[in-house]
Amino acid sequence: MQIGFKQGSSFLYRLNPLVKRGLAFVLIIFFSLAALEVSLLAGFLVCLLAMLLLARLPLRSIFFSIRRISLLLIIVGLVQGFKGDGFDLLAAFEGIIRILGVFFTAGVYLTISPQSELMYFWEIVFMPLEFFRLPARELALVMVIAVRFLPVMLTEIDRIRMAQIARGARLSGGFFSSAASLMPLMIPTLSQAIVKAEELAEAMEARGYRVSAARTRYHRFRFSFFDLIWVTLAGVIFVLTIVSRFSNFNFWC
Amino acid sequence: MKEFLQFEDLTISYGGHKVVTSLSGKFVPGKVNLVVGRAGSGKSSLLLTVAGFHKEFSGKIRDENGKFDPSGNFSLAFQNPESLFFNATAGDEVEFALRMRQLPESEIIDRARGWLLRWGLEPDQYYKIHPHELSGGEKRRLALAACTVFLPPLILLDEPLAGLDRRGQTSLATMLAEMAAKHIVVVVTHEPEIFIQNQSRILFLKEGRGDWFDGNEFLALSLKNSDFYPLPGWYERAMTNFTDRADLPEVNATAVAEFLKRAASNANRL
Repeated sequence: MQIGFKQGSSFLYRLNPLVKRGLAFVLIIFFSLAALEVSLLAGFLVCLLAMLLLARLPLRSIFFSIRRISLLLIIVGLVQGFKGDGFDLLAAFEGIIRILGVFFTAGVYLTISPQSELMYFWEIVFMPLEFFRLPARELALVMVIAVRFLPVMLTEIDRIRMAQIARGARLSGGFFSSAASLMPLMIPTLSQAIVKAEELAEAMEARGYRVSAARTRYHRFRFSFFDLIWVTLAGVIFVLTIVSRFSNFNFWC
Repeated sequence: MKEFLQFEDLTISYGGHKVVTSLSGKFVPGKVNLVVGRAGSGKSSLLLTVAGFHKEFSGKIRDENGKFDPSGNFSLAFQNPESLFFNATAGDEVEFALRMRQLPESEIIDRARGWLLRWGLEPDQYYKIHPHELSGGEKRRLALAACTVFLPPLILLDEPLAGLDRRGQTSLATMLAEMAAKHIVVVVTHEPEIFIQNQSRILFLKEGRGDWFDGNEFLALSLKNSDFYPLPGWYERAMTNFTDRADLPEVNATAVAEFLKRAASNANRL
């Protein structure tokens, strides 16, 4: 099961795309940097989960997807645990919570953000490039299409892999031998990617898309009072993170 | 040659969700085995399970020697198998599967040329041509030739006729029917009418259940109830009065015309 947008209408879905992205960014910074006690970090993660439950997000499928990183979590736990003298269980737990928090935040962000919102975000990010007469909107579109096509291409690669194995291809081996043995997988995948790109380009042109044409926006994103509350909350979390990490007033850890 | 491929209480799941439940029955050589059903009914999952790529299942898959071991024993082609091409010539494409099985060089070329000819591609003309220079129908035949050249006992094809015109479909269906004489050929298709003959074996997957029919039964049920399976309108109209017959003709104009002529002369005699 892959992480991707799932339909919903709860309060998290209705946030402005920039606020969503900003909030996700702040939470990732928080889980990566905040110098808080492990119990506070865990408590924060639990609160986050409770809020997501309230927002009726498909937590089960998000958990199902990020369980693929369980090996990473174990490694991080072991590395953190053995950092000092002997094994420090709390340090191991802290490492796991931080990684889990980062992946979970990213998973939730992707679950509540449809393609149009991702595109809007990239347009804003690339906007400074317009200053240099570079096509910001087109670059944003390229980014979004690339991200959207990943699952399609992964499915395609899997089908090609299975069919080539049935023909007798050996798609594994040492580093140098595998480069040659991967040809039955790599060449069809590349050629399929090119074919699909061309088909998509033609389909877009057939529906009226023209590079650098002046266009209006189908989805309009407004900034509401509700967004302001979340921006404030994100600001508080960000300040808390920075203060906890860089100030001397570390009375909470 | 395998005598059969049998399922015993086979249940296939995806992420805990059952797509096929308690399937029993068998695929046999002699006629093309068809797997039909709506999108999402588990047709492709069944192929992947038989091929050993999908592991989330319970029940047994057996052949005459006991538990079926798929490794090296099957060929598998999905929709648009021509997307698998990666060699510079059609000949190399067919040779690949034989090279991977380390056959002697002289045998590889002879077999590859013979197999291309069998699939209707004259080797003198096509052997050194780049696969992407071929027409759509030729590409499809080359792809299927490349997938089957090592003569596996089991041939699994997922919608091999998709994207071909009717003439190309009929010609490919004939070739697959010929192959079925010595191999177990399993075809997942949304166009079973092209393959159906009286003795065809059809596995119809619907809402997790799998029911087996022979060709005549399937045609008769479809004629009586188009919700069961929609046949072409012209065939339904021509056969409306014959739904109880045990010798319904194939879904092609010549067979139907002959059937109607026979029926008319019988009626005259009576």
